[in-house]
Amino acid sequence: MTLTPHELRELEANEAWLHGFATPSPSPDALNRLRAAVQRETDAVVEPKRRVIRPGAPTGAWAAAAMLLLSAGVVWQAAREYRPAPTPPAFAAADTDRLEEFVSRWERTDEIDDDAPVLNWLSREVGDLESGANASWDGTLSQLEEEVTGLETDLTRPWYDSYDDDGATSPARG
Amino acid sequence: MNDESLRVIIAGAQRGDRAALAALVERYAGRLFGFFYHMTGRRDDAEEMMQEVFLRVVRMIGAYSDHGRFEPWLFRIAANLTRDRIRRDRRSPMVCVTESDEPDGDPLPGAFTDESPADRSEQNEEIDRLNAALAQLPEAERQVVMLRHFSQMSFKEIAELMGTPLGTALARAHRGLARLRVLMEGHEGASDHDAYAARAS
Repeated sequence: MTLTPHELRELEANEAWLHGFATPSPSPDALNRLRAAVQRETDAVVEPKRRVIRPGAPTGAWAAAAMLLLSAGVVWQAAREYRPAPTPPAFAAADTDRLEEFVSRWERTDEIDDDAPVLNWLSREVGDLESGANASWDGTLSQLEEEVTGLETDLTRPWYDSYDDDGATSPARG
Repeated sequence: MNDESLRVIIAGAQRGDRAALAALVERYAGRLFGFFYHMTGRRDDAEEMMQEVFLRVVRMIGAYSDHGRFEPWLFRIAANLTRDRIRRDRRSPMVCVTESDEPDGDPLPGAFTDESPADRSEQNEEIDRLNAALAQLPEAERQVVMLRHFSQMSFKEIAELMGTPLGTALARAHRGLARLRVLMEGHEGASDHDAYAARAS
């Protein structure tokens, strides 16, 4: 889906229009609470001697997970082969079991023959975990489970075939 | 603030320099608050989420590799937090609360502004109307529009963040803004695609 030059001009004009609106501001109290919270958190995470902020995630482990997920080519292979190192406490054996359960359920939704979206999505999630843009591997697993539950539900709905990727609906096939 | 000064601040923050982290707060608190406020429609949620983002920044900035893309990284955290919050709140759907519904009834304090009370009141009405209109947009359109507006991310970065093709992100922005303008201005003609936008809703 691409925009025509006319639509691009409309988009630019509407963006400029939106910039004309006032921007809401946080209250002074909220700003003061924020400043205090940031100071407390800084004190808590900065190592007193080295004065550097400790990375909040075992990034090597996420990198390994990303490589496995991507290099395997298909998500279930990656999940089956992945055995996390014992060091990252955030990724326990139970998490591997949950991931495998997700893969197993994903396989059962065999009407889905295009793995690219889930691979891209997983890659992005792992990248976010690695960069710190997402904080919780557990949250990611929960989301995976939610996604597959949603897919299983969607597959039973009559409108599934008419749903396209930009959220618009079109007349049902057949 | 230019790129070089931001790089200095980020390097300071990575060393655990309190002043550098405070400078990041001063620089980005307003934009993050605005993003969350328009995404959730609630001042208290927006303030809480703004704080959560900065706490994550403090914890994670050591893992951030500076390639001049700090803002996309920051708003990626914000977008992920919003997504998680919206999913969590689906069980109890968000209600768009206007400033005048807030318990203390205070107008938007001019934390970053020095407008008169009359000016602020007018701005509050406008912000209320904008929030009400934004609440009528599909979540995906609202997120693209707000990310673009507050984070100044490129459409390519937004598309990557949302896991969609570039064309889809552009189309959502075009459709969402056109729909928003119609809702705000209450007339036809903001876009040739108003009719389509209305149908799609």
